[in-house]
Amino acid sequence: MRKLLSVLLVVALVAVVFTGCKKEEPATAIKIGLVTDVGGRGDQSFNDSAMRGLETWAAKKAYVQGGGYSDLSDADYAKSLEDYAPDLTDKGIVAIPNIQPVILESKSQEDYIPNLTKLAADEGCTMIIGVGFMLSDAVYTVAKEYPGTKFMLIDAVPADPVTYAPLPDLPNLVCYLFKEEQCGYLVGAIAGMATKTNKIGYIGGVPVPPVNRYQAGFLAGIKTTNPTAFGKNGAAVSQVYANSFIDQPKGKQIAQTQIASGADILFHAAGATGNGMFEAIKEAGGPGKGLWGIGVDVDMGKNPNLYPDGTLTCAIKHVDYSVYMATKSIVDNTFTGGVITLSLLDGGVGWAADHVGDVLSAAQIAQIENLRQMIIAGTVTPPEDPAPAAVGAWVAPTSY
Amino acid sequence: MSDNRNIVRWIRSAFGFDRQSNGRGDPLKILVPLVSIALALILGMVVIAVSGRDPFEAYALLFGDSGLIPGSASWKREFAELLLKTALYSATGLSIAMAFKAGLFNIGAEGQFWVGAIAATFIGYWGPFAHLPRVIHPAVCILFAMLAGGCWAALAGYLKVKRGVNEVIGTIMLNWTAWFLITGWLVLGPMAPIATKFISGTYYIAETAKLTRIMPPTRLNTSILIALVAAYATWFLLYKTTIGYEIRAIGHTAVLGMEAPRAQGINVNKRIVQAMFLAGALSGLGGAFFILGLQFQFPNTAIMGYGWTGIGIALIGQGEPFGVILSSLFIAALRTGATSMQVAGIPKTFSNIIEGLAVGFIALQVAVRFYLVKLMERRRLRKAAPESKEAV
Amino acid sequence: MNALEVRNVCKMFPGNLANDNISLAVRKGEIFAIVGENGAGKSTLMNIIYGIYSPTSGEILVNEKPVRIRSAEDAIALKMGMVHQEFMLIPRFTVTENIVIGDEPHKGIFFDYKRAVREVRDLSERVSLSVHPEAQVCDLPVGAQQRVEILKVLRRGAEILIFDEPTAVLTPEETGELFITMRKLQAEGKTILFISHKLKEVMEIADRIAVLRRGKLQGIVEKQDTSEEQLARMMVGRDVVLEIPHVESHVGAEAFACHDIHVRNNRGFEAVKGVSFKVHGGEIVGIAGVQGNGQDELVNAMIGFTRPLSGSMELNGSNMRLVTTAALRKQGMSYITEDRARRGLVMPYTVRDNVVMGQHLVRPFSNGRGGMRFDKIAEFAEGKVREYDIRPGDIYDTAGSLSGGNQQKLILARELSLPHNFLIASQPTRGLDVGATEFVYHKLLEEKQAGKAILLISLELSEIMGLADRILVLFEGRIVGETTPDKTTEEALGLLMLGVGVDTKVAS
Repeated sequence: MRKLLSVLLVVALVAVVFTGCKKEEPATAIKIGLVTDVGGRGDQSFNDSAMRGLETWAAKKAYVQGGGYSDLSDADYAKSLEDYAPDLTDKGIVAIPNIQPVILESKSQEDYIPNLTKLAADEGCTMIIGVGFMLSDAVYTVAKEYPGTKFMLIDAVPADPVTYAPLPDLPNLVCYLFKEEQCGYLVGAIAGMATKTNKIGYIGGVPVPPVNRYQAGFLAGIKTTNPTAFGKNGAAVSQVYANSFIDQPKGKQIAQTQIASGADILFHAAGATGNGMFEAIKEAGGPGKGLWGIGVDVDMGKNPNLYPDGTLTCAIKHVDYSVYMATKSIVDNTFTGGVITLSLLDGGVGWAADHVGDVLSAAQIAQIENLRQMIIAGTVTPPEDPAPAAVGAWVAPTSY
Repeated sequence: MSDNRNIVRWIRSAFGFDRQSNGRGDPLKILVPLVSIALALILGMVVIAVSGRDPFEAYALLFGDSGLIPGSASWKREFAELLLKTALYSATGLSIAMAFKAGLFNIGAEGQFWVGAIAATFIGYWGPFAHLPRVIHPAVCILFAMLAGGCWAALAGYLKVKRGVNEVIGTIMLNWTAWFLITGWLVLGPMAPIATKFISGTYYIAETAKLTRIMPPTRLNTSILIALVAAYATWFLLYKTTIGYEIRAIGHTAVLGMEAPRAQGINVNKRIVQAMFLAGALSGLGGAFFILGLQFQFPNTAIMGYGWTGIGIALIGQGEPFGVILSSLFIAALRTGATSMQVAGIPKTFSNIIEGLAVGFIALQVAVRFYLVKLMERRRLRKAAPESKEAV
Repeated sequence: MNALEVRNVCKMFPGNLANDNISLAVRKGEIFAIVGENGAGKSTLMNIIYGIYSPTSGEILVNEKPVRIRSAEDAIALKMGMVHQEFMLIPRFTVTENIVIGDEPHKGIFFDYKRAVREVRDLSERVSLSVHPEAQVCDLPVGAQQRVEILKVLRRGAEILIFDEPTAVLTPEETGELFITMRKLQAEGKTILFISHKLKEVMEIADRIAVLRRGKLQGIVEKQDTSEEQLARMMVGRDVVLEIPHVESHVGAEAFACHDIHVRNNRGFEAVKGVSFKVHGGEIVGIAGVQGNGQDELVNAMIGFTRPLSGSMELNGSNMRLVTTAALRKQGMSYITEDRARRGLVMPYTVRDNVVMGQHLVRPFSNGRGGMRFDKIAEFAEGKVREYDIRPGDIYDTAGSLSGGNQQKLILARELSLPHNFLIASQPTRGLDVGATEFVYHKLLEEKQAGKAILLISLELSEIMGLADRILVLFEGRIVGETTPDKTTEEALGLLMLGVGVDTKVAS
């Protein structure tokens, strides 16, 4: 027993000595914190996009595999913009000096609050970004507790747990929402034109509101350009939920089933689950067999880890741009609390050209561009609710 | 002096290495996990050093901000997080330890955790219970969570004794069933509020159903106290009651298909189902902790990993209830401190590596034991004098 | 020419000399039988020849050349083959797959199933062992499964075939067919070793017969020079280990009775075929018999482990046919098992925890509300350790750390302290040394004097003759004789046990 206690004592002592030598960071930098959801770095999608907005575009830093940052060369900076933001060239994205990103990945759901709190209390971050729907409650709680720190929440508006109405705005919390139904609508219109079999598949991750909006827009787009493939109330479109954002095999399995039943254009709004869709398309023969996949959130046609050759187009949601905008608002001192909704109008959402030119005629592409302008002008408003009745009742434009 | 003796004796029996519960009092039972953890920490240092970072700095951050060591400004908050995690992990850890004692491998703690969580959520928001007083409401939620988790696991026990379905297969099957039932149906349909733009997952539990916070302003709640009570109750049940006596006898004879307990008239089948029920109830308790103390609703992504964490914790804890509490504390400390390592640019992977190594060494405990025995033997020979009784 | 010869083979197990200086030579082309009781050393000898055990001393010659056999692979390479008592077949595979497994014909890298089927068909026609090459093994009757097993051995080119109790699982018809096969193989020039304890069969098939007893070779005889009676005498021997004091019995009331009990074994065959007997207080009823004649199944039925197919069982006047072990124990049954490790004790439990198992639910060992009273249990255990002289004597030693004799004392301490009036003692001295054996005898006689009813099941004739007041002889699941020690001799009993004078055809 005595020996045991002494061992424990030594361990404790050593640990105490260790704690005495914490490093201090230079004080001049503006610290911007970011907390990922459980998907974390490398999800090829949502979290990566947010981190790109902060690390690459705002701070002009390159993440070193394993941890830490190095400076990013001008050429790499330009390449990132070229790859991921060809549609944002007019937005004037340039590096913001003195930005120091502090990123915390969440291992599990109970980590959200401590991670946010740590950035606010210990790291002295000027602004803290919560990535994704899952952090909604946590960001609101911590933002209320630390009124001196600014917070940004992506994809969600905190809601009251009893009435389910949006909670009153906090002056230090800005929520960014996206009009996913708009970009979903455009890729749906493309899918409706591209399909040869008049069978289109949709794979959803988990039916959270942003995913629902993608689905609603996608169905409306198909309804506009190809009523046959839409069917009655969207019944002709195969719509399957994987109930997970991280279950790649499940995504693959769903896609295989859809391909087997004749679908030739597949769209997913399922995060990493959707990677399985590209795998399935690749294995089934890809464009050689007339099969195309449509990516989501970022331009997956630029991602060599996925399947660029079989990516028809992508419904882009510029999370990266929203993070950049919020960061810039801190430096410019223009930060205000409330809800900001990004749409086609301000470049928050869009579609990627990828292989559209190989499949659609120039006239058809012009029609898509027309539809885009009509949405911006407000003459077309894609629905937000994917329920069959709601989409069925939505009236598609006839001339475009 | 005699007081001191009593404390020592109690600690020994609590960790299952006294002579009474463990024959010749096995010092290895506590040495093996300690040595495994030490080896993991040393090897972890090597890994960090090889990756080009300062291992001392990394460990300073890891343990400095783990909540174990008081002093820093953020200690109180980290301490709170540490204990919250400890409670959460110890629940599934206890569950698996309980099943181990009966010779069962409860790989379904994960599913039982979900079932417990969904039951706690339901009782937490359901109208008829929504106006229960503050202390009663969470108690009722916990009760139902434990019942639900217990029944879910007992089903696997029933399949084992009646249909000969190995409990590993049975519980994995039930994990999938729970997964589809909950994330594929309950969370989307019957338990979700009417379609709204701003919410996902189930209804939120009532304010009265939340666990009481015991150290404001942190979110530390009563879950840690309940976990300690659960550990004590598990220990008491296993070592002080007739049911525990029978369960352990069954566990000791389960592996080789021995039948001594049966020949003595013990109803082995009944006890197996009961042991599974108890194991499931403990997992369900973890689910209740998660809902009533942290999340307040069942989110519509699944809550992943607590069952698997529990396996590692039960292994490190040597399947003893209080060992489980200590090993939960260790794992919780690693995970709490990992946040600070991330801030310093050391990825969270390193704490995962240390965790994995510790569990790995425990899994290799046959080997660790072998070398420890050899080492002790050699020392004994060199001393050539009788060891003091204290070391036993 | 000798196909196989063993010279001065000894095999020492801890505390047991299993083979004691055995030398024998098997001529090429003969059927050579090895007989002996269970535990006589037959299986040990075969396992040495087949490379599963290595001998402590002695040498083996194959075709008159000294060889070293370290594994079954070595034995197969020396053209030996063993047909095991428990078939080593994969039930879901076809006959062909089972026969060629481990040595499959190939076409490129693929298994050439068609060729395999052809080979198996050719082989089975050549040796006239009819099997359907494409049938699934699990669909075949036991006799056909055995033919598959033989074909498997033949396909590997075996010249010396070892049959380990091959008839134990066969019906008389199948046994007849097997003997025809064996003759055919002999005609082909194969050498056959045939292990058995069934004297009738041995006399029917073997050319020469070796008798083992207690690890020693008693002699090798030509078939025409011997008789079943002589073989039985050689097998059973005459040496009595211990003087057992005679205790007068005062027969009391009936404690246990069973009537026309039928029990299946775990293979689904009926192993107890209508047994009836009664046990009264103050008497020891001995059940004598060669192992495997239904003793295990009978005990399993009596302790509630298996349900008898039919028949009635009464303990102290209550019907006990369909009850649990717990109910039987409550009704006053105690049970001493020969299988201490599997059935008797929880080895990792301490002496203290083992000694109350079975009465741990009653006061004072439990507080009546589900809690254990370990202080009382420790007190009780201390007392029993002294009373039964269980060494080393620390109640916190695990049962597994005790010697066999002390383990048995612990079991006795436990079972005899349970409230009981009927004691089943199943081979209570198996594996015990003389001292412990004497202790067990002493305790059993004490029990008898105390008026308990005792059923003693034993393979040791001397034990039965010394202890029992009445003796029942179990043969092939039936009681074929009842006698008392003063009316019979060990020789007569031995013959009865081996079925000599019992018409097996009628019995089955």
